[in-house]
Amino acid sequence: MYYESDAVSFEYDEDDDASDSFSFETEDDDAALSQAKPLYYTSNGTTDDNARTSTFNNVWYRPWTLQEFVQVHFLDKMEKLKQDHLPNCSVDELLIMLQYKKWQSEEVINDYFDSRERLYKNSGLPLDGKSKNTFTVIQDFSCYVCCETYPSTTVYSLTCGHQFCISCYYHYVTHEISNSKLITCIDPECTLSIPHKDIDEIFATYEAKVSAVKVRKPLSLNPLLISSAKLFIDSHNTYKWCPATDCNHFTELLGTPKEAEEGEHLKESKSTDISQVSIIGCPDHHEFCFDCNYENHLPCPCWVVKLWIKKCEDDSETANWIDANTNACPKCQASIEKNGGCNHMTCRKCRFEFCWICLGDWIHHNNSYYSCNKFKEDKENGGNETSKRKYKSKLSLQKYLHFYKRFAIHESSMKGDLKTLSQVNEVTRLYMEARKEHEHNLSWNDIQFLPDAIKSLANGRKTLKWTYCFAYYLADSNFSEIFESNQDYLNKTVEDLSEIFESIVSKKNTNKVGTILKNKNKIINLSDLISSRRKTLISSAEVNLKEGLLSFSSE
Amino acid sequence: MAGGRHPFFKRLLKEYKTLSTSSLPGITLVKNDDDLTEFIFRIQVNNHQLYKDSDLFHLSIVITNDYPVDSPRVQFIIYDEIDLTSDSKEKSSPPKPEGVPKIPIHPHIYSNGHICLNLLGDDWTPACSIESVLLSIQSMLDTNEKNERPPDDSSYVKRAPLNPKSTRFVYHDDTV
Repeated sequence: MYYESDAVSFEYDEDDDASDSFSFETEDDDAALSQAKPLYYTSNGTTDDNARTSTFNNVWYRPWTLQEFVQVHFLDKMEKLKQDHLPNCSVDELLIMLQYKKWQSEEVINDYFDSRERLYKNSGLPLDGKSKNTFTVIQDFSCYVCCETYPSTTVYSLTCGHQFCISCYYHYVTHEISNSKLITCIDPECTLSIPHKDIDEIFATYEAKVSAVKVRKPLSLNPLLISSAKLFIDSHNTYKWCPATDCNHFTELLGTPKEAEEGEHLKESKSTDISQVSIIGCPDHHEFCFDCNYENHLPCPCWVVKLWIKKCEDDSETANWIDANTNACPKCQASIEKNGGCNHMTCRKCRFEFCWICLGDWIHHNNSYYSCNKFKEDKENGGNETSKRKYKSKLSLQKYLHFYKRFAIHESSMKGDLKTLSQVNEVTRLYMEARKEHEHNLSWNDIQFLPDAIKSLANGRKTLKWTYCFAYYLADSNFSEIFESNQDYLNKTVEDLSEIFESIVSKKNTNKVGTILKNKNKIINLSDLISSRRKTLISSAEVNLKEGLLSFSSE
Repeated sequence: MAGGRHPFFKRLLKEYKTLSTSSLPGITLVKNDDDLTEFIFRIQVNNHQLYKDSDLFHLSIVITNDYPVDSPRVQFIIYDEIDLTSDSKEKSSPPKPEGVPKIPIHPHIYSNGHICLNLLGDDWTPACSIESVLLSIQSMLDTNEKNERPPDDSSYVKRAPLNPKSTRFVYHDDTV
């Protein structure tokens, strides 16, 4: 059993045409994520074509877009209910009843046949089933809510006939929508619910007033349905939002074959078995970890990631830095950083003059501080406690900075890459337009290798980034050298590919498309190489960790 | 207010006019600002078995930026009217009320003045008004027979946010 969600049972049907037409569009040749798609059997014995397994382990998941989720879980369910059980109800009525019953078809059916009247009353539907909801344009309308008098405005009313202006309804609905509940008539005594379709109409009419263009959106983009879907996803722990910036998609975890046997305890402990890390993908192919909801952080296990993030956020490093790079004024103990210049220090705070090297009073130096040999003495004596500690924290800071710098560089390079890549996309788009005019021997298929290379580059950077976190916590061993050389290989390949992309969009380059075509084979090879080196790095880390050849040093 | 007039100033003006002309028995508008976004009302309950005639209950009503789509921020406060009237001599000061300022005891009113009332949360719609809040709270006091605070008063008051609107109340029961 993989996805027992407590509130809703999912229905996937083998010959479900409706879900086919909304099955999502992914390129199956996406090298980084989907392997040959095996068939998955869901709990009720049917197959799910949209399920995928991760390349890194046997995690089995389904990427979703909000619109697609609304379609499958709300609209398809409504259609099925209409076809199988309640053919006399309208779409509006069914959606309102389902929303009221939190999308539990069974409960709607039970309540309906128990007492249709009660169900209609509770969910805010007119009892006779004839709704008289209207949008009318009225002259000289005075709205009770905003107290404005309009020479002419659109007025909305439900079957109850309580009229309010479209602007008040728009603000009211916008405010209420986040509750993911049915929205009733503005009149406080009235319990009639606004149908989903009318919510769309209220939005469209109001926005048309502002922008003069009336846009009609499909029901699967209905704001109340979208907000209900968000609530559903937030309240079910088999779903995770994609953590990538501006990504609105999410992924459902269907299960890992190992899960049942080995149990959950692995995720809690400081396990070094990184094959257990649940890396999944969203419809936009962003890879992320289901357990810690962070981007794909392989080869690091989740607990190392947590340590690292905490370390980077922590003030402890600032404290280390202060300790290593500042001295306390010998008199007033204020921290002083020396940013170059001579060693004759004057404390800003207490005006005490002292020597930076020996921290002694400047008076005793008699302008001959260059021969101040107290420092040397300290060294010869093996240093006192303070300087020993300073040395130690300086060293540990240096180590941290070394890895953090590289971690951060790849993070910012990733952003740079994305910028370059959007320019590459623009170049190809322009080219394709030009091509329509002059027949040329380049077809759309010929440049489809680009998106793959782009993903490959981004993923390579991501893995590379996390190898520095990995290396920081790694205990020294002969095998750490192997890891480092794998890291070097990946680094070099990633940089090579990044360079090619940069040369394409470079301002000096006048024949951008020509550069793309000239480097086509190189780009394909490099992006394949990144994928394979990435896999090699991760799987060798996985094996060596498992066999104890690599280990994490406890800090 | 720095941000200029409230977007629904016209509505506020209308409500203010009604409130200051038609008098609601037992309810007095004590103070309001020029923007009509902050009001203090005094509620008095007469001939009640729990509340003395001399008990002065002051209700602070703050109109949020999203009013009337969003409910106002409403809570009981301890307010000393005598100080105010002596400060503003130029205004024809209303008759000084005799009595003791208090937070009314009620199973839905916390000792810090926060009120658990569904009209202020889930049941609010833009067609509700300051007047409907006042009437609703007055009737809440009028019909109360229990001399007690909410069961979770001490624990709630200890960790309650300053703004009662940030609390998600679970409405206990509607019978009181």
